Amino acid sequence: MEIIKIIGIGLTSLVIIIILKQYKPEFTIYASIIAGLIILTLSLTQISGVINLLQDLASKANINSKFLGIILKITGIAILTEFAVSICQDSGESAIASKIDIGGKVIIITISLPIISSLLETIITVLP
Amino acid sequence: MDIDLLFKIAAIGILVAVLHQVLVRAGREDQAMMTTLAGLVIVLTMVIKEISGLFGTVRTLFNL
Amino acid sequence: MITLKYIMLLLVFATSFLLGNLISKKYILRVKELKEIKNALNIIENKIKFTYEPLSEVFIQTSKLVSNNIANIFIDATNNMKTLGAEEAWNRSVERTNNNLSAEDIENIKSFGKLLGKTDKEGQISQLELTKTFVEMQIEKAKLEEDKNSKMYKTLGAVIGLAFVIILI
Repeated sequence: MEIIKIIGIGLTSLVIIIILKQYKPEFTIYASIIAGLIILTLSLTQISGVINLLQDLASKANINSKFLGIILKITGIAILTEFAVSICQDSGESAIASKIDIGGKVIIITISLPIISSLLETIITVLP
Repeated sequence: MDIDLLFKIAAIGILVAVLHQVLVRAGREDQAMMTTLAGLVIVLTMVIKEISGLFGTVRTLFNL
Repeated sequence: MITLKYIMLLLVFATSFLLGNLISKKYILRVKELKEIKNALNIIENKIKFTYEPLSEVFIQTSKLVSNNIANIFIDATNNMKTLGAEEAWNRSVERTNNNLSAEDIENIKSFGKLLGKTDKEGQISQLELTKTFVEMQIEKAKLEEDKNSKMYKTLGAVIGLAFVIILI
């Protein structure tokens, strides 16, 4: 029952952060980072099964494994950037958060360039 | 990677708050600030280790 | 292995706690010892005023009436007086004793020996009075410091010990 674990950790960290906020507000950011880390790690261990299944299906359906790898990479980058952005927004630094967001988007686009180019090539061959 | 770390951070935060109170009450403001700083650095080192662990797992999982 | 770890953590906490207590005890003992010295000076003043015993006899009788650390000063001074003059003997024994007094306190207490065995009764008694006011001032100062520091060191010892244990766990 991973979901109960995740909910429990979330609520416990909430209580801890509320208590800490009264005494030392500087420490709340660390507590929230650690809570996020724990929950993320718990869900990531679950996700590995899904990835294996996807790879299996892709090899069965004869999809280029390079594309699947790119999609997985994009998912990883999205998760990491989302993590950093939410931490920055929590501590009130929305400027840095939006910069991290832009950086993540740019890197995702550069990684997905091969897919875009192959898509364009396909369209060109289809078009008369 | 455990919930223990969360409790540890909470405990260090509360202890640092108590230390701060005691030192301020005794009229040693500068030392009180130093203890707060030391607590922050200790917690930061613990958190950084965990963050690098998370980045490692994400990397291996999505083969970045 | 786990039990060993917990025993070590307990030791760390105990050491820090005891260290805090020790330092805070020092401030409390300083006030106590200064009070004892004032007490002893009162006794000596009475003896000089109303009896005609020699100084070493007075010292030995005083040493029986005050607590251990301070009594040692008087016993030591009587021993020294066999070979040295009264002032020299007093200064030496005050410097040599093992107690919680600060350097300032010791300087003030030493002033008692300045006229010891040199002038008549009146001169010595006025010197004694002077030393007594000095000691009283030091008591006031020591009390202020005790209020400020003794509780702080006690809490500091316990809290720092706890913090070490939590970091090391």
